[in-house]
Amino acid sequence: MNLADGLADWLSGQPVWGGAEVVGWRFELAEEERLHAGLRGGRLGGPYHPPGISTLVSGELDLRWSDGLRTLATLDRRVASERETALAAWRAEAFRDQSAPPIPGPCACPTVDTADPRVEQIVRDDRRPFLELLGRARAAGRREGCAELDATAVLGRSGRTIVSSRGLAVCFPETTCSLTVAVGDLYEAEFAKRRLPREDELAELVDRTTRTATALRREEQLPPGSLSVLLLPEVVEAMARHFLGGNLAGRAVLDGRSAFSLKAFRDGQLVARQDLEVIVDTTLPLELATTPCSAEGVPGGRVALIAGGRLVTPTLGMAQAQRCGLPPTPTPRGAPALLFRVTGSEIELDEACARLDRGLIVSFVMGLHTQPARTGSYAVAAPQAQLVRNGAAGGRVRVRLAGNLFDHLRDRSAAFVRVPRALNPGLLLAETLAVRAS
Amino acid sequence: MRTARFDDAVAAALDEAARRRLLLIARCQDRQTLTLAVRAGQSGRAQSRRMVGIGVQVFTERGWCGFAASDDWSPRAVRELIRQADGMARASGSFEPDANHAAFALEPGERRVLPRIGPSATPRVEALLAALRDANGALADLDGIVVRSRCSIVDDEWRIVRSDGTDVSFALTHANPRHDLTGLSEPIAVTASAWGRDGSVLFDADAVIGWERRARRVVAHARAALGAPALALGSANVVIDARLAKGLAHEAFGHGCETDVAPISVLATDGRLRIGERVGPEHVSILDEPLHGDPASQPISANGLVRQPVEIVRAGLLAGGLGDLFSSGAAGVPITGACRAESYRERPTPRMTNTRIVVDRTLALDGDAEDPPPEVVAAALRSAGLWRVGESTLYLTGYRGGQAHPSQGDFVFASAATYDLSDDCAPRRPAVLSGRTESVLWAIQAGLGKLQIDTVGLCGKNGANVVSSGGSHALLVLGARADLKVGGG
Repeated sequence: MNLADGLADWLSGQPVWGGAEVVGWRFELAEEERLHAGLRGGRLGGPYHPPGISTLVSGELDLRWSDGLRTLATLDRRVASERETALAAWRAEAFRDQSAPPIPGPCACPTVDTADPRVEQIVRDDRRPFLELLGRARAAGRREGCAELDATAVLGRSGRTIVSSRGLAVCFPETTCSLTVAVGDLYEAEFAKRRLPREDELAELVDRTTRTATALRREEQLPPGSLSVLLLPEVVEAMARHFLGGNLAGRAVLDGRSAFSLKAFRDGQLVARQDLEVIVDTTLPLELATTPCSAEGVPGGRVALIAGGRLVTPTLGMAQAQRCGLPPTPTPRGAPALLFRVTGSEIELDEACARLDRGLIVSFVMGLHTQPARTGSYAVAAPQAQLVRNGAAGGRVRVRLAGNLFDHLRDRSAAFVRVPRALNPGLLLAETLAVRAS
Repeated sequence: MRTARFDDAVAAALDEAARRRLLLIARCQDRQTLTLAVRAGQSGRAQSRRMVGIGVQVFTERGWCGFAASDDWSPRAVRELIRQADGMARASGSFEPDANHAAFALEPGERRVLPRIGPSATPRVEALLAALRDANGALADLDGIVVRSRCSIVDDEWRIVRSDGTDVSFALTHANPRHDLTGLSEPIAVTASAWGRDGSVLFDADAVIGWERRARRVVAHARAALGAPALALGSANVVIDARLAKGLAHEAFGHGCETDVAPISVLATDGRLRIGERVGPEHVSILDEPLHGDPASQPISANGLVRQPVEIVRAGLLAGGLGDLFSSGAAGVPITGACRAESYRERPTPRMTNTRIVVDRTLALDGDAEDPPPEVVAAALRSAGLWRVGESTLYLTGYRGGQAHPSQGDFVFASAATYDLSDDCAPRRPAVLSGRTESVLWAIQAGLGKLQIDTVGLCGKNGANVVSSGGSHALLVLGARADLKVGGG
């Protein structure tokens, strides 16, 4: 019997501690195995990035006691061997929760791809291809003239089980694969999905990294006057997570901490261009976000948080959904947390660069996490912005950027830019961003 | 200590490593965290988290390294971990591995158990929640402000074992109560934190009152900034408080002195820290030191070595690095036991503990030294002869976090409140300070007030969080420099 089945059987027996009985429960349990290793300066491993493997049982538990108390706890491997000790600890940590959501029953989950059999095989049986992945990245870097490539690879597999006392029972396999390639702090690019990268994806990742880093080694002076700025998808996603993610979170909306009120959602307030949708999608094939259901038993799916530029729904767990009388929303398990979809025209990356008569390409900003999320305003450093003149990418300029993401999303003059292999678009801002040399 | 439960696991690990002719560093951890949360008018919730397991780092005779970690610490499982780590290390031999023999040169150690500090019994959850509700309720009169109060209480026991006989156990405990304060109709979002060794901080009358005062002050600063203009980016004289000074010491300078970063640090040449090079004026020093009772304290490194204080900068000269076993030699500095890890699953790296800037040129500061009002700061500058007529002087207070790139020397950190002292102390929107590691210390002109080194935060280097702390004098006075920019927000 596996750990999850054993735990479910035991809890179904309604164990008692301190005069109270377990009368309801829900848990999520994952048994995970993960490989990791790194290259630094073109060398594999070493004491800081050695090839390694880790195994872990993790999860979360929601218990309801016969006296009305609730326990929220994380799960570990002890659930198999130290049940009585764990039960005593859970009882000691029980508290009265006036806003506890009901224990979920069975849900209709979509069929989604969450595991790549090749990743499972490498992690379980055949680990040499894992180190070869880093070896291939290094070889590709050397072919591009970069002998000192940095890279980090992580491959994981797990079996995840979500069960409740009311009949919820979902089990699914998961795999993860992330490969980050960098040249010092100059430029970093990442592949992160539930599957291995294809050869062309690996080659493009390394080529882009070495090519961009080579260009950024040359420092240039920021020219006077206004500049257009192309925020690459990684920056747009980081800003979306920080500013939109926080303000669209149901708990923040209900607590009054969001820029948007619950009434604004009910009224469908216009907050962005009318050709813009902001979506949560947990059904994309082999993306880290993909899952058949959340830990609370909310089925996976695709839902628009903003449609036609108007607020539709905040992201809602079971408790928040109950509080505001709206259906709960799917919860991504990783990237992409949010997706931008433009019903109007997007432009291609080449065209965006060509439009940058005088401009900057920004792939990384520093200090975004220090900016207050509620206003959408930011003032950040971009120490590795790439200067573009007459459509040709040049060297590096150190700049400070100031703007407001909410304004960008309302800006009709801004262009969303389709970038090969990126799930989200970049954003080309025509001289609406304050740019200063730093 | 709970780490005694690893006795069989440790014995199995040492035996299996010896059988395979491996040098072993094993890290056993038993971490218990209780997180409490209360929202205004509600009863609150508690969530416990426990992390128990063992990580083994092995070195072959050729210096190749492998790692394995698991939450299963049965002797059989631990032997399998050693086998896996051995296999990974040897497999890396075909891929031009980075060989490191430093661990083979360590002196033999012995078994030690460092005494736990502070009470071992934590109050019951309901009592802790009641105390947190009281603290939350004390701020109920803040009009239009939603107060969410949280407290994480961490009890973290470690046991570090090496093939050379070293076997040392120690406990790290801390509690972090914080109020998150958000304006209902105003774009205010601020945090007021307090720190203590354990959950008793919620029952200590002085700590609770100090925490409440801090919350009221950060709300007052945030309200003052409402509708205030943003600062245009530029250079100015800047006065920063001890919390921002901790950011300066940690982000702007400290990371560049960690020896794993030396191969790329702007403070190193060909991988060696430029010890003896002048990096600031004679009156400026930076010290990193684990302090007894400090939340960021770590008496023993993740490799089982005693953590030592390091003078990073002495009288303006680069004097030392945060050296760990594996990289201090290449960086040209002694081993100082600077290695830390968030968990047994992580590969440790050099990290800071309590890092502070100490200024010889220190002037007195009257009144409450924490968050002094801008008028008090302006008066202190005048009385110290540091007021620059006709020049812009800004006062930045409160810390919202920062980030650094040691290889490029760029750093950035953000204040929670900003005042233009040269414009009659008028509030401005919170500002961002950015600059270059190589030159930032030259801006420090003076310190005002006594040392305040109890600012606590989380350092997220390489994606692994450890508690860091530090500070400086109540206020640091920085002169305007072209490469130190302030503005935005």
